[in-house]
Amino acid sequence: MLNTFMNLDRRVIYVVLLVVLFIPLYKPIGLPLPITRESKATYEFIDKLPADSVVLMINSTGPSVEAELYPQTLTMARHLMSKNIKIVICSLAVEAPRYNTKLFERWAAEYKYESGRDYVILPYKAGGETAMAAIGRDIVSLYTTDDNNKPLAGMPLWSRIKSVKDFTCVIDIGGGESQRWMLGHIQAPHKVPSIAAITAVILAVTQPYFSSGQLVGMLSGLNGAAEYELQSKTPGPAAAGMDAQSLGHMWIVVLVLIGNIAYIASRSQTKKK
Amino acid sequence: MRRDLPVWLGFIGGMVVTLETFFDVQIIKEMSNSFLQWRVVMAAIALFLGGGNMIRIHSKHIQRKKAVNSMILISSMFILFFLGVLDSRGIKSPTYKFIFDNMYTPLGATVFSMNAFYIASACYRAFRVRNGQAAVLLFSGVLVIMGTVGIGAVIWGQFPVISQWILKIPNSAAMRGMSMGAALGMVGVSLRVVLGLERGHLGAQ
Repeated sequence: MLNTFMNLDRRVIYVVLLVVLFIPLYKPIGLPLPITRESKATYEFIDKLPADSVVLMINSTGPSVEAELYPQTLTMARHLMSKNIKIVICSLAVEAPRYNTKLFERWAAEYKYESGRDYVILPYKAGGETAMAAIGRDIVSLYTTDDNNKPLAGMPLWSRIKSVKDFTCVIDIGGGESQRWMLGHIQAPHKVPSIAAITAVILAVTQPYFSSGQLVGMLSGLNGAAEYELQSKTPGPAAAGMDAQSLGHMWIVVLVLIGNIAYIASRSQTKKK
Repeated sequence: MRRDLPVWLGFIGGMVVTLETFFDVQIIKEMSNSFLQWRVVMAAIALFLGGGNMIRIHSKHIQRKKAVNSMILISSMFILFFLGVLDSRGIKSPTYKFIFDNMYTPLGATVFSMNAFYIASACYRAFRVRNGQAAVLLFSGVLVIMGTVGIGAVIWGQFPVISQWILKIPNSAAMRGMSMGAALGMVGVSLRVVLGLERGHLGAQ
């Protein structure tokens, strides 16, 4: 018996995980979602931004992290648009431009946002940290056209930008190191308030920057997006997926407990012998 | 010449960008900005080099063993490349959008989602209280999970509080120490590269 619990067949683990993920997606349970201080700070900071201010979003979303980062981008962008805050968005990941266009395909018409006047999508720049450094040093020289190859010069929104200091806030969306790059090349030298939208797996790495006040806000993983959706009273894809994530995590905790109880029991049995 | 020129170029580039951080001199600032923008262009060129390298490696695979996966990789790479080049709308073209939204994204997301199953299985097998340190890791991990998910708050209202405390205090302290150590190490390695003492990246022994 103990041996069975100590060596559960992985197919059992997989099937139960599949079931606990599927059931709440099919029929949501409505589990409560605690709002973390990071999500609260993010929402409150964005909510207090003055209308007509300009926010820079730096997007590094790809398909592998889409499930966590795209709902965050959607809900924050929607909140910004509802407050008539202008958005400049750029990409540091090669897949990110498609997410940027999808974002405005989805919301621009509803909020009457026009390209060039209310938002600008900048093209992808290769180089990772170097591209971030170039944004920090001289964003105007780095970009000359938008993602439709239209010259930026003459666009009403772009004419307001002389340097990265002209943004009231910078939001980095990425699951890798881009938050550290943003802090090093934009937040620290120019003191632009910065927010990080991250995957849950790098929460432990990014947390110290929020605790120190270098980040004014931080959204972590799908629950970060769900918490933001709840605060902005616009439940969306993230909130819908939280029950499934919650139960999936619970199954992992149960597995760990089963494994350890069986392990400790078998050890005490061996000692007795 | 083949060894010295890259070292000198590295020295000049590294020094200019470093000096720009400490001194507010216009010419250094302009040079530094130019270097950074050249680097962005070079990174874009490197993408082509990467693509070329992939074609070379996988062409060999196909010639040797008729590898199906390599064939799929090369053909999908060419299809997307020519779609981007031939259609002036680039990523706005309906065909690109269709492939990205209906093939690339679901495939990428599916591969990543598999992690959930492997993580579940790995947690079950690896998280065993074998000693004191493993116990600390296990309990803090479980507490953070329980504090992050909604069901944890239903079971006990203090889970989120404890989870936040673990992330804010012990985690921040440990991560800060590691970050500072890594940053100092990076300064040391960068200095060695700029001064030409470290030549491993040039193929030197």
